[in-house]
Amino acid sequence: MKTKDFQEARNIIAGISLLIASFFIMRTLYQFSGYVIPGMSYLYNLYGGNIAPNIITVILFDFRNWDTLGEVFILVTAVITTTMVFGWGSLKGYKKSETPEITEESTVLQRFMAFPLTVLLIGFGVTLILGGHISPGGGFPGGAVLATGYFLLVVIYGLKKTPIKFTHRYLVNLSTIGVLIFLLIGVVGLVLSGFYLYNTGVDPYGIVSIDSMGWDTFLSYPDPTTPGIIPYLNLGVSLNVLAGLSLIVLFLMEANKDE
Amino acid sequence: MSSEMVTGLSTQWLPIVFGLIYGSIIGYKVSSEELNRTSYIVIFVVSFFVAIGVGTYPDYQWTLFERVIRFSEAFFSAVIGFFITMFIRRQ
Repeated sequence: MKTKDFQEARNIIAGISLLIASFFIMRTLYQFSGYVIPGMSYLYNLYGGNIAPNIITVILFDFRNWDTLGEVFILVTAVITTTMVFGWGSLKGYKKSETPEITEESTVLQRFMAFPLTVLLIGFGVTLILGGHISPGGGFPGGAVLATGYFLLVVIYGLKKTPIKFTHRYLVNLSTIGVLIFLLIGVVGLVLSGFYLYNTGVDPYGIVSIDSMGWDTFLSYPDPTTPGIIPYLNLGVSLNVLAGLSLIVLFLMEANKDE
Repeated sequence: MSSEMVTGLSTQWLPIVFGLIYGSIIGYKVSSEELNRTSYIVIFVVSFFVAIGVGTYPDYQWTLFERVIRFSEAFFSAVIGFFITMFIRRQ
């Protein structure tokens, strides 16, 4: 038999295996529908309106905050991976005649508009972060907008002449502070209620009792929408995202500088 | 200052503080002498109008010609914080 015949037989076996696996997966999914209890949906509708009008934020931060914490750690992992692959560029020094190639290609209009646009992007990013509990936005998109402002400057002016000069240590500190804000607010909920990341600022279940200390609620946000700890969590996530994405940009640009 | 603004300032001071802190964090790392200083006032005026444009429900509001105008205090305070730390660093 020729090699081609083996390949055809292998394709047939693979096709049959795929059919069998698909049958069992579909059968399992069909049976699984009987076990799904829509209980959490009732909880969202019952308590979500008491916490913040933006129900998506309530679900993301108040019921599935572990999900957001996981996103933060995924970002940290991405930064570590990028550092390991492209970080060798930061070990090299600048050449005397070093000007990143992109800088020479940028036009006068781009250089004139990049910095004002970055200032407006910073304001817009902060608006997204601090309004994430009521309007579309939040910590992740807001931090990404802030990092985009830095990325714009680095691309237009180059790494050496960029007006905002983030250092590695500064960005690592920012990222650490962001994660610590998130984790420590979770610990506060654990201490006061027994549940990690419990929204002590709203206390929707009425289990936090710190009246003896002079507070009705702890970590409440002065806002007519009473979002509780959600804006603080947004702040922590946004600091981490700003620092993480800026670090990735920094390492990618530095990997290019001596080539 | 209208009564609406006074009420807003008394209940929503934290977005201003956080905006100033956030702008300061980024403005602290600005170090360049190549930028045109005359454009700063243009950025300020433009950011004022953009802050009015992006203002949503919980932000400050005042009534002008029977129209409710909302002003995003987080946006404007972030820009102010950015410039404050930038000027302090340049001194």
